[in-house]
Amino acid sequence: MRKNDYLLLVFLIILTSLGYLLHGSTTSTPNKILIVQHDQNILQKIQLQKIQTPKKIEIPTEHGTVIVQIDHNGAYIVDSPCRDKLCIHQGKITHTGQTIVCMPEKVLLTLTTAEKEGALDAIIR
Amino acid sequence: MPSSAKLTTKELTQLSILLAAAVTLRIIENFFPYILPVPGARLGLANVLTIFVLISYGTNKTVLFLAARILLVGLLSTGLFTPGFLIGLGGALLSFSFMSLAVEHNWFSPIGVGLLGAFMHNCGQIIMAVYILNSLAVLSYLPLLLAIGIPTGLFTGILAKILLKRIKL
Amino acid sequence: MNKLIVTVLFISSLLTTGCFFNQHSYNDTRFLMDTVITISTTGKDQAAIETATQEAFVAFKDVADETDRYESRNPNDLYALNLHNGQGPFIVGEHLFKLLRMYTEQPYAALDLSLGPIIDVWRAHSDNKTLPASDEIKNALAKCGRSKFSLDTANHTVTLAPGSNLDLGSIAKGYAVDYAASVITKNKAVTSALINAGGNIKVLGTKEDGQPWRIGIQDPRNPQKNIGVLSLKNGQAVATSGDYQRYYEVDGVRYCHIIDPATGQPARNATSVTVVSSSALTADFFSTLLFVLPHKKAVEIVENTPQIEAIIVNPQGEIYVSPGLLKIFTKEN
Repeated sequence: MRKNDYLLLVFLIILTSLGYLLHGSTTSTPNKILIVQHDQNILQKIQLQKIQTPKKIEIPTEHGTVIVQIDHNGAYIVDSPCRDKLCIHQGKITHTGQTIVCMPEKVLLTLTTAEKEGALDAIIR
Repeated sequence: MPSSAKLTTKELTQLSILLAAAVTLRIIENFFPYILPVPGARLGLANVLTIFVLISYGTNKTVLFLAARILLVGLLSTGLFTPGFLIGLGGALLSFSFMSLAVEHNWFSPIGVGLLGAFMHNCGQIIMAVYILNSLAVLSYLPLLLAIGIPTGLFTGILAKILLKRIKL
Repeated sequence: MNKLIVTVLFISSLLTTGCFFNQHSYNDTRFLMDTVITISTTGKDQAAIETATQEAFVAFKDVADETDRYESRNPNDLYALNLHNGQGPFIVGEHLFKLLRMYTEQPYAALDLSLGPIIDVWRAHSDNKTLPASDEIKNALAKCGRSKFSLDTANHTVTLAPGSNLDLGSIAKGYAVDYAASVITKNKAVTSALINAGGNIKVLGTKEDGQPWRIGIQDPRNPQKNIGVLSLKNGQAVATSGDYQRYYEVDGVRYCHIIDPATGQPARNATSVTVVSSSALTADFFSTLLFVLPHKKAVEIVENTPQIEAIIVNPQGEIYVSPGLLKIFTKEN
């Protein structure tokens, strides 16, 4: 049945390429916003262009503290109490749409743009 | 090809040995989680055995096999009902559903089954991660994970084919 | 062939139901209570939601007229009552009486509705950018206080001591917002509404996209920025009191419009206090009260009053968020 195998292979390659193409609109934009989430709660939304000097943010989690380093380009996890440290090895995210996730600590970092973050219904002054 | 529904002693013995091997392989793989830049990406060697069992024993017995493997790996390595466990479960379920369909309808050779299994395993993992984190943001990993899944899927498929040729049950 | 036709019809009907069930929206703006008031409504029937919005403004204006301290609007309003000080019982309008009665049932001295005299002192000086002398303040304060007025529920009258003068600025808007909201709620054609009365906002119903209402809170020291965003649901109200809209400065020191009844001076314990509650009146009341009180006392009251949650910004710029808001308040940067 080798013919079907080839067809499947070609099909999957096309599918994956499509995935990459759709994902392509993520070049660095000036309005990057870092969304810091823990266990379904959005803790902070940080406008990266306002970060002049790099700084660390600490996220208290079940097993300790996850430490995130942010600068005006992006963010990465510096330290985490998780066992595998996968989140640290994901490196730094700099493009919108990119994410870093630490599953055991339920931490999710996402880069998005100001436009996507949505207008306010009103501002109370 | 698939035999009757009951497990003979011979089958039980064979499956137990294969189970031990699969559990060991998966646990060893879990020790190297960051070889590739994407969490959840792995060689998938344990899947070689799943394909082997699927083709040699049929869907029903593979369900038992997989359930036992997942449980054992959970107890010994990832922990039960941790996020890591649930993600692995999601991947295994989706991958198995498609692989068993493929085998029952004889769509592909073991190579194709391996390819399909790896692809679906990654999809299942991402879907589970989206559900657990309640965020679509993790979908951004999908293209890279799928790209890695193609060569690893081929690899496991080829290994399964070799195994099937060499081992006479 | 039949199957194809049925499928096409089914799919196209799914697509077009969007058109029929589209929400209509309407909004209008009026200037009332010295503030720009905007009411926005959505619903299935355009005419009905317009009617509801206009009715809400009528309701709002009723309260505004009755509680206006600076102009005569009707014979039983606040202006008339204040004129009648020292002349015995005076029959007041329904809203005015309700407000005063609710106020007297509150135990807090730091929010005082009888501060007319001291407010007038500061208003006079703000025009000239001067500061009142201490005996000017003392004399004015002597005319203020709870003891200066009393209510007679049976006769619906209020009696003011001579020289006393009521100012309802700290709670009238919240009350008006609640009243306007009650009018809108009665109209079944309205699916969602937002009443924006400057520092008082109330949201009704659910938005078309099902998401919570996102209300930004202005940064007290930077009008271009927000300190964060609140995610509110049907029926919630939010009120903010701050020192950054009505104030004047002398020698670099800010003198805002919220007076501490204990000292007769503008309150300085916070720069902005935002309160969330299911009643706009409650939110308005507590936003002023907590603004006047020292920070620790304010926090204590918030954490012991289940009907309210609050965000307090102190003069150092530090932001306190009460526990009940942690899940629905997203800090900005």
